[in-house]
Amino acid sequence: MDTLKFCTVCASNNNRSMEAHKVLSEAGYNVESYGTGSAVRLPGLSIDKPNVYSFGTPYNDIYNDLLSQSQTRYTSNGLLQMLDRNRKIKKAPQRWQEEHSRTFDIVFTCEERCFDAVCDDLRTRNGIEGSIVHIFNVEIRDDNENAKTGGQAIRELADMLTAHSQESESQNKPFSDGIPTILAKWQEAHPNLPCLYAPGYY
Amino acid sequence: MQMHKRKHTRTHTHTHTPDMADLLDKSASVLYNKDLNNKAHFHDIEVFCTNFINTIKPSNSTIPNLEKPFVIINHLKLVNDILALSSTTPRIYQLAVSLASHIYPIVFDHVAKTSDSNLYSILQNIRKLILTRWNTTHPYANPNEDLLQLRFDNVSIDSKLATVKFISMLIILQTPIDPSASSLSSSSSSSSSSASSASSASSASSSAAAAAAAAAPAAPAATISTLDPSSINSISLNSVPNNHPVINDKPALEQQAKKLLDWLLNYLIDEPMMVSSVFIAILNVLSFIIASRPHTTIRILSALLKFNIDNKYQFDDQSILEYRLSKRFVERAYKNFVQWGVKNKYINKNNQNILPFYNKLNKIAQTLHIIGEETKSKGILNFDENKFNKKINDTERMKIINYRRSKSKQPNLIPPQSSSSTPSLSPQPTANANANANANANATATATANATANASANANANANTDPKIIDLLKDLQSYTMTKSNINNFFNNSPVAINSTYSSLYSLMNSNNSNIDMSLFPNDILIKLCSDTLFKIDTNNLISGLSIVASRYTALMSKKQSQPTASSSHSSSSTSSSPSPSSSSGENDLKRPSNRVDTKSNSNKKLKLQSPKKISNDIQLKKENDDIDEENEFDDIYSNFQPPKPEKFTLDEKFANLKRIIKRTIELNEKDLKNNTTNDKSQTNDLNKIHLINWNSHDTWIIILTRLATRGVSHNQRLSELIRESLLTYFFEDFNTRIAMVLDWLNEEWFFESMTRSSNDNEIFINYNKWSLRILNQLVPFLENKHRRIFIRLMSELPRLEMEHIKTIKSICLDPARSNLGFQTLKFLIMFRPNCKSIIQQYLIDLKTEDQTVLEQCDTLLNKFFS
Repeated sequence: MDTLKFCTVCASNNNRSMEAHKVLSEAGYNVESYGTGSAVRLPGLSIDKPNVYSFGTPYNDIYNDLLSQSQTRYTSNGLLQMLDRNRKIKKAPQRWQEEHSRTFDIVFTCEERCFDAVCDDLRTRNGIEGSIVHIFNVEIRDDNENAKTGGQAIRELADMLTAHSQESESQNKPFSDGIPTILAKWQEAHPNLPCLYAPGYY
Repeated sequence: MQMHKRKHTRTHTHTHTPDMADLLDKSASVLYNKDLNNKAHFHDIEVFCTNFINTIKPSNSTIPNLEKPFVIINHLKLVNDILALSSTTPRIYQLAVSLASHIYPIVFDHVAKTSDSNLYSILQNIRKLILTRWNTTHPYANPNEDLLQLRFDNVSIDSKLATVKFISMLIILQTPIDPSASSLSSSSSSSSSSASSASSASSASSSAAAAAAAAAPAAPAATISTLDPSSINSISLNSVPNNHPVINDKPALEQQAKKLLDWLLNYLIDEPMMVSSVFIAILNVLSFIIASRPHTTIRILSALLKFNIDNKYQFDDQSILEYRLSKRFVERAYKNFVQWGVKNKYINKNNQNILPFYNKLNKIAQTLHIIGEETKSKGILNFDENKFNKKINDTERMKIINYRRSKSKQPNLIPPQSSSSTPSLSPQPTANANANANANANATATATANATANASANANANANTDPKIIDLLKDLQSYTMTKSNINNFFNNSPVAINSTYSSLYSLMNSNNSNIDMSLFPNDILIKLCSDTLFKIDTNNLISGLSIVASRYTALMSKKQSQPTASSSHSSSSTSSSPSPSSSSGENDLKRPSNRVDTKSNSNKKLKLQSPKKISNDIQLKKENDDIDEENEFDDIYSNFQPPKPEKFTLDEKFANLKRIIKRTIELNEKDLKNNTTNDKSQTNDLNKIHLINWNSHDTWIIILTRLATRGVSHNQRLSELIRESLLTYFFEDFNTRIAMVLDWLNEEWFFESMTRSSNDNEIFINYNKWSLRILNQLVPFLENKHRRIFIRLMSELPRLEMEHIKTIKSICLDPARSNLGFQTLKFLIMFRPNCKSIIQQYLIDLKTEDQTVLEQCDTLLNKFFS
């Protein structure tokens, strides 16, 4: 395990997973991000009319669409800034369930629903490739502020896992043996971000 | 030479030469003819394994799928050599086993097509290398440490995860897609080396399993000519003809698949420690097995019901938080497994054979969901350390370690290599699976013994006087003493503690031997016996019967040596009640002694008479025809007093109340007729409690809420049970059950306000506790579409305090749902004036705390409070 391959996952691959994607890539990690929802859903001008886009719609197109609807409104709720950030990181939101060619060592999900969706999808893939993936959930509320806090917490966990991976490799110890201890230590530092963990198979 | 062969094949198929395959060849060439045990080559081995996996994985389309088997075959021997390394790193071993999981079915399929015996022998060696290390700490090895210690259960998790996947692959490969095409005849199962709980459960319902298999969706059949690695799970024994020249051990392989599934299931049931990662990994691969071989579903589900997460112990070096988190992870995986099964119709309520599992597993999943949500809402670190401390005690620890030690001395048999009529599988190096297997051997042995007890009673009675049989039994007794595997039984004493049938035949814990098998219908007993005899290990059966024989011998020897004492005792039996041991004598069973029992009102003793005593009693009755029957019965019944009912223990009350709650809730589903009576007179006391207007859809909630608030309010545990059940019922479908929960909370409030004294403000304990719990659990699930029911709930709650209003906070702060929160507050301001002041304060606090909702808060404050 030379360098760990990370992946961040939330529902729409816009707010939480992209914030964590940004933080991890800025920290020099090999990272990608995905969403598990059926479509990309963003708040609309009224509560009953959300903006819905299919995965693969470029962030730039979404940005322009919202800009044309109401610049004031979407600036005040932070959506335009979020999309501006996203389009600088990658082209378009990607759906986890549709991406079977890439494999990762570590997957961070940002909501229990997404964690369940990732585990469920791996079950559906039937473990054909057989390689092991470690899935962690960090429960982050879907708003700007919590996405930032959650992103930093995910980076801390990534730091701990990377350090542990390097230590395991240098001392010829199994990587997975230390995961529960790392998680307990991390959880103590972040009591408001309840975590989940499961090993899975590609 | 092998390299040349692959290149030749590529040229022959006229496909492009992919770079990835060249990279693999290059990394392999570095290793050929090298000493792989040399640590200097470990990095190269790791690179080779990684390249190999990347080259052959289904998502790699640079090499055509048809060509991949040839790439694999070229390097198969090297994979075998890497796995055979005695000294290796955890990373290399994990990669090699993962690699083996992937290439094994492809090579197997190739052998099926080409009958290459050399390849098959390499495959068998790979299988043997990996399986013999299952449940060991390989590659971790320290000769100075006792690796049977429980703490090592948590070591080498990477290897275990990879091995779990390899085992699941073998199970899928060696289990026929179509169970009706199984090459195993019923007789082949008689050679089973251990009877696991899962297999015994499945054997009891083998017909059900067959029916389930018929109903289950069939996996796609493999076609030998066009192998697609992405459908590796479709390769199976079905694709191998019965007269295959190389793979000629099909029945043995199929039998081995069953044993391997037992390994996985037994690990879940028997592993004493909380090895969360391996538990979760097994749950994952079980879903692969079910999806690929649906006819294994019942067997897996029945074992899953025995997987008790709460019983797993904490490791000594594990913090309580670590243990708690591990438990939480396993609970989540269990819940996800059930939900996956239900969603994909593997756990299908419309299938009558699966329905019982559906009901139970669904209930467990719901409970686990509630526990998970509760933990999350309370705070993950907010727990009582004493409650979650689950350290294993020294006695239990020593018991398990000693057992492992004794088992580790046994020879480690390897899985079947070639055609053999009696396949045997290696017993697990540690105690886990063996413990279960032996426990079940005990269970089956005892079940058989109990089932045949009645039938053999007369024969045994006649055998009493035959000295030859006594000698034979004595021989058996000495044989028993020489057998080492009598330790497999919990109760292996060669001497019975008394002369009852249960003490004679019981090989289990005495608590488990109180089942009266004679109560079962004959057809079930016959099936149980025949299945047991087919499945049980012959050695265990002989050992079990030998123990019983030695007990017989001991009892008869004792009886022969004390004939006088027995008769003299019986002559005086009219004056005192008989001791239990005296029932072995014939004369002490005469009626006078029974009469003494009856007079002392020990009805229980009559019920607990051993079958032998009862049969002797009947025999004596015939012999004593000269006794005046009428007078005898007059004597008995004139003094007969019905026994006083025994008081229920709290646990019994608890169990009964559970049944009552279940049945009462079920009333809701039944369309009972309105049992209206015209006699509404309240003069009769009975009418005061009689439900005059019965409506099955409403009355059940009145019964349960009044039972909780009044009927059993003296006992907190019982009343909380009812409330928990109501809560669960509500959350099963809160959309349609708002009225029910309002009825309940109104009842809680009403009762507490009735019993409240004028100056007692803290009296709404139960109401506050449960209304807040409902709101806290409900709020995360609410969406805008629930506006109507949520406003109804909030407006009809009989009492609202600041704590209740605060539960809406998360909705108000959620951009997607804030409208729901503020609309509810607005409604409360307008229609519950007595809450206005609380809401005003709440809005002021909210806008101070979070500026994002300033606008909404100010709108309400300005409109209603300015």
